[in-house]
Amino acid sequence: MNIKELKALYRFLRNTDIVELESEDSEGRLKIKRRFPAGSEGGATHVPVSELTLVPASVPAPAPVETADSSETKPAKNIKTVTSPMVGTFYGAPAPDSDAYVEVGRRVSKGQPLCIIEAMKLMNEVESEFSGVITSILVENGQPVEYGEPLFYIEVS
Amino acid sequence: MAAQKTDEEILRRLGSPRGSFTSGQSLAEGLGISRTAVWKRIRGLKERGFAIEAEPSKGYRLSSAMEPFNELSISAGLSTKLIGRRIHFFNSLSSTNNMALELARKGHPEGSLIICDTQTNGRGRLGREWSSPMGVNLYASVILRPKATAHELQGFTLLGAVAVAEAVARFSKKPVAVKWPNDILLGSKKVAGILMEMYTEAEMAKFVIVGIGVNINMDPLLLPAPLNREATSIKSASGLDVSRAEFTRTLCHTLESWYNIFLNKGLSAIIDAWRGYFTAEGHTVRVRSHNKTIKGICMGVDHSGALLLRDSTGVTQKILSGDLIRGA
Repeated sequence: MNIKELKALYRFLRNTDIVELESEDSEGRLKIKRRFPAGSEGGATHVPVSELTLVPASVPAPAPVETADSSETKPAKNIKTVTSPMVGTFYGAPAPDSDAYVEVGRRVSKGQPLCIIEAMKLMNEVESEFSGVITSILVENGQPVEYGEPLFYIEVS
Repeated sequence: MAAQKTDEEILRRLGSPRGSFTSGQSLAEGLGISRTAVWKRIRGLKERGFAIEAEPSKGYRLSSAMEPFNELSISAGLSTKLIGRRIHFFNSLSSTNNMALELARKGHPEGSLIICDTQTNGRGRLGREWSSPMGVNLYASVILRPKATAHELQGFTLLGAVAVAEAVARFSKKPVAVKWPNDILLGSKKVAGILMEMYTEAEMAKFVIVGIGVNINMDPLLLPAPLNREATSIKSASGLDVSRAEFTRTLCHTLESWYNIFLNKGLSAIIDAWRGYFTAEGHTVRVRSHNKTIKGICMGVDHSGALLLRDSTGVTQKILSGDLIRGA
């Protein structure tokens, strides 16, 4: 299968709810696995469609991981971006010794707190504008953020 | 801390019903301590300035001269148009900001004032504790609903600092300073703190909770170390007894007037006033933030209220959050 065929297959798959696809021809075998937020249990790593994994036959599919450069990739259509409402410092938890508000793979609903942005002791609790699954957290705890800077990617279902 | 809880319980029992006597015996039984221990605690409270009367056959009571602190005593004589027109007074809350958040979510109007006599879980920045002993200080939160984006409210906390500093100065009769961004100092010790929490929806502020803690008549030596060296109260710094109700009214006025200035003239007018209280400019300071400490010469604040720090390489850094520490 060449890259052109693969791209065509990708476009086709995006609009379907196919979870697993396996095909074999004279050139070899192709296996594609997808996971959807709706079907995933809490804690399961969600894989956006843009991260299909191609694996050779007989080797078990490795668990896809969030890559550090995921912020560089352009999010797919159903991936919504939560941006910072103001210049400030990003905190992923309400206090240093607390659990984080959210983590990658976690399902969130509209209105749920995602993080705090602090500017001069004005603590702004940022609520999710979307219901969906967190696919990326793009900033680190304590990191300065700009107005409009992307903070989270959420895949809406 | 146990002794402080006992003192608070004694004050609570002596204070209600107001003006009535409570016997030493019933205090001892109610608190599970000896009558001698009750007597010692009451002597301690009197030394700290609580007006407790003792009558040999009747017991103890809080002097009727001691001002009541409740919705009525605060609203009597309050002439603001917005701040404090609605007062929700509680004897005890986990934190006034928590209650204010609950009320704001239910749609309570702008200017609503939430006050309590003691907080069981008083909060500072990032989950830090705010000591909240009973009967001596002010713990208050105000709901504001400015029609602005979060971005436009950058530096909004400096408004709180200016309003609280002005109110404290009227009672302390001593110079008041601010520590960036919004701690209020008397004689380089902390007398008041402000914690603002903003809730936004699609970048528009839904409401802002202005949490204010002011040490009014508290004896700072009663706080656990190291707070007892870092904190002060208006009374401790000035020697003057302050009516909490009167202080609260003054604070409502200063908050309302600075809020109106902010709405009409914007942040620049607030920052100009704030600079008048800021004493660290030109001094060597450290700023401790999430995971690092930066040292440098404080160059003041910019138009948004961000701290400007010139580091050893001569580069001026803009700082949005952290704890400012004076001295090298």
